[in-house]
Amino acid sequence: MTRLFRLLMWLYPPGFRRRFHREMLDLLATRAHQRPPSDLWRYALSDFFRSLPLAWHDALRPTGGRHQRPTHGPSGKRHAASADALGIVRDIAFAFRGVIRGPAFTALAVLILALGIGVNGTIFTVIHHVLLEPLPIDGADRAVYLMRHSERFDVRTSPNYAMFSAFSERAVSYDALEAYQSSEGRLTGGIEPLIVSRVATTPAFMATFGIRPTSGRALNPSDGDPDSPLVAVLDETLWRRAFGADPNIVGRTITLNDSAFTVVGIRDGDFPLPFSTSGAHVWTVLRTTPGEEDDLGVDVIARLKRGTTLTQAQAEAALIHIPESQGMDWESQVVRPQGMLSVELRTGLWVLFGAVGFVLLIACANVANMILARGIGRGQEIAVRSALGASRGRIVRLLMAESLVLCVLGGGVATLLAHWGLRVIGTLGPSGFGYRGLNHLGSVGLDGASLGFILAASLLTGLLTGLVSAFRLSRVNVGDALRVGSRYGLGGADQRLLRHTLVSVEVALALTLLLGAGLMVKSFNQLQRVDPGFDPANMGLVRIRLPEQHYPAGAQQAQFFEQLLQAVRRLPVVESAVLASGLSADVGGPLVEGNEDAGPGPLLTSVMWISPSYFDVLRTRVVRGRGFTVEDQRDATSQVAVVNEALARRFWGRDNAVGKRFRLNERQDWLTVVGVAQDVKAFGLDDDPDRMQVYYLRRPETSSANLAIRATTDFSSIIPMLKEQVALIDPNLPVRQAVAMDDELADTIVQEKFTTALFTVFAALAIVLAVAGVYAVVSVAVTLRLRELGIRLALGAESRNIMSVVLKQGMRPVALGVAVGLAASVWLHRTVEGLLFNVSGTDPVVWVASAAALILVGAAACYVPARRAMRLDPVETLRAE
Amino acid sequence: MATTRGAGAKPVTSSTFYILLALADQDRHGLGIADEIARRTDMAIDLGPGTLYHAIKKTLAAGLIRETPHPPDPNDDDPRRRYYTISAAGRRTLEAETRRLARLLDVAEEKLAVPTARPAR
Repeated sequence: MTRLFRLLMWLYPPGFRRRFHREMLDLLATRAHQRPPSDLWRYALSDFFRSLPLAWHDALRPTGGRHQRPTHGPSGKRHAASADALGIVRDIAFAFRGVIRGPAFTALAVLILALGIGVNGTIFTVIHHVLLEPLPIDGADRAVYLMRHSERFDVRTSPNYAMFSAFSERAVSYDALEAYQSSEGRLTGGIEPLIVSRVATTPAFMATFGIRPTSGRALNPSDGDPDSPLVAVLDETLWRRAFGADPNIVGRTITLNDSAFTVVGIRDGDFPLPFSTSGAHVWTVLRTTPGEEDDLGVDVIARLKRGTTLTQAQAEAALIHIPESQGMDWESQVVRPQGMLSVELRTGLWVLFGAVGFVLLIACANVANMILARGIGRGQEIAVRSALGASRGRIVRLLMAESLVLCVLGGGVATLLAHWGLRVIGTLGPSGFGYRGLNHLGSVGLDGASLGFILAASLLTGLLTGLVSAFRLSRVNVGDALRVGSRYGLGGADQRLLRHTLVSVEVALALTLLLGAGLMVKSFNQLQRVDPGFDPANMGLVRIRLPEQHYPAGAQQAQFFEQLLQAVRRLPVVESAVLASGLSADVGGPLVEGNEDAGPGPLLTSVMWISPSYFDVLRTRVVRGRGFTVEDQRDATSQVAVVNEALARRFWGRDNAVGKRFRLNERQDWLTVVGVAQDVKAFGLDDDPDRMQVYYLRRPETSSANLAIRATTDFSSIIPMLKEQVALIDPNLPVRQAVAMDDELADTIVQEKFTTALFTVFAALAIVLAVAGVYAVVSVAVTLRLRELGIRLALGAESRNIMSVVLKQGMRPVALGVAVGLAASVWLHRTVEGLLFNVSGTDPVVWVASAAALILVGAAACYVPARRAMRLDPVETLRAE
Repeated sequence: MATTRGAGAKPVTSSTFYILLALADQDRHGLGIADEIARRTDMAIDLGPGTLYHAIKKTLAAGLIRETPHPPDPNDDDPRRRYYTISAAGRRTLEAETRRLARLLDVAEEKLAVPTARPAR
């Protein structure tokens, strides 16, 4: 917010700004601590809109004010300045009259500007929400995350509790250091059983970060006492949904994962904590058992002490030894909250912001051109004003006022467009915002910052557009303009040069966007064509975790899953089904017998426990050797494994792997490879092609499993039937998740889809605007040359020649724009390169196609007015002159 | 300008009045003025930065307040801040304005037959 106001300061008169801006920001910062955010916006914006005109009024009118001391300047100047201030009001009034008088022109200009400003407002809001908005905690500007990083395995992950303890004891850079762990919880005792997002925090978390309940109390340090009763705080939305906004909720007992918790408070709002699963939370206190601290993964938010820099904290973190775990050496990292987002997402958003910036520039150029073109018709009016003594500055100001009025109107419409644009973006459902707990942007709406941005963008656009057109139009040649018979007066060569330059700029900008969109579309196509390593058609997963309280023994667990498997297999809509574990997170690399050297590159291996028919159900090819058999399963001593091609390739070559032995750590027995399976893109279509995978035989005694099911029809349609089967066996067991693999795969590329779709839309918008620009300029050129063309026709020129004259003139700026655009792209394509999958930023097909496409649409835009010129009736034309 | 200036010549703007009032007992910097006004009015009047400094600028230009180099409170000596003090003309204007408002209040009370309340702003 301070950032926004720092920008808004530039709108105050320079003298005023220079003298007071620092103190004004000071006051604002003070109030920011004292007022709630919504109130602060009202306070700051209403002050801004109230004081801005006053400050300008004063700046332009130094003699004003009742208590004015006599100024020492020459009095003539004072009068002029005073007249100026009145003149501005008159100019704006006049501009409004002009706007009303030319409704078609106004509507078109406002629409173009609104599109340009609107897309900027939309993307700004998304960026502000995802990248700029601080965490919902006190002192958020100093908040950092602790992470740990393993250089060797190229893995960055959240800390474990042991690392948190080490930092709590030794780190001095922070005035607050708290941990939380988010997980799913089964909430019963409300209206219906629900899977909710549970956040277990260190006891002082809420108090330290100022998370305040609206009723009841927050969790506090005494709740961390091992003997104290279990208590919980509910998020407001959860309280409404699960408990029907029961006013007596505080003091009531709820059941979370079969433990009874007493509700002690309701938290205001439901802004999700980063990395927690989305939706409303149940807050509880994190309790640790000594000895398990290594395995307990937590997220750690810390707040730097005032005056401590990130670099200092990082230097300190490097010195704090953190215990080895999971067989890896870790080093700690201190990261700003924004740094937690994937590089792709951040780059993607900034690239989109750049794209809409280009769209806005094109819109500006377009409107400037429209104003110039209209100015041609207004040559006489301006000439008369000049002749009557209006100074050049006066005329410039009049034209500036007009463009400002247009842009402010455009900004108004843009606000509506941005509102609507956010809705559209919400439905695109990009993922990857997990750090904000936002799995979709549907909840993001316009806020004060968006409105401020739109206002600032409108004013800036107005200035830019106005400057371009005003300085040109004000250079009217009075003599020419007033000469009897001259309709134009302003169609001179330098004018034409400016209009053509604007068109070239538009074309160049549009080309860079088209090229970027082309690269992204091609990349997205490549991504969609990746072989996932299994057949996702009609396939789906049902994820189930058995609560240990109800299923304490392995035999019970095995029995439940076997029973469920048989029941599901009996369903006529199910073709085949098999049990498997979920995919493990990456463990280190395999230790291969007789080959200690793993070679360069990160060692990422994921592990999965599968039943014998797994590959058949998934239709994953076993390229060498065999998959698991029922015999393997019966033989309790068998130590066999299947590996994927990437692993085999790395150590033995695909064809030599069968019969070789490896293990994943020193404590494990040696496993013999019996087969090599095709690579499965388990982490999404853009998964690392070198990711290694090990398959073990699944042991039946496990508390959680995935049921992989191939249906005879669309998987989504059979989900209710599957849930019914689960409920028949255990009515109290919620299904954690049931997903169709098609959707799951689509989910993994939804972020790419989001960026590509939006970028393409913006490129399309840019082209439409640029083409309109070309069309307008050629039309004007034809109108200006009617007389000349008429004479040519009368003298016997063929219509073909006329066509070529017009086309040549129109295409010159287009060709120049294409050339400039290509040159700029040589530099600009690098910004999107990081977002591309299997496509080079210099892909020749895309480059040639983009340039050709722009030349073609440019030619089409020239053709329409050219045809009009061709069909001129010379007699009519000359008579009209 | 035709208006003659002087005590009670013309009502001052409300922002100016608040500033003069805030400076009547003590020299303050801009933030201090805003805080004093907010505190005295229980946050009912809280001048925003633009409004405040614009009013300060005008009041300075009118000669009702002056910049002063000496901060009154040595603990609060932030060298980057400018402190203001009320001038003699400012004090006269404040008194005149207060009298004007008091007269206005009398009239209002008479018309509304409001029993005498605490002195309004």
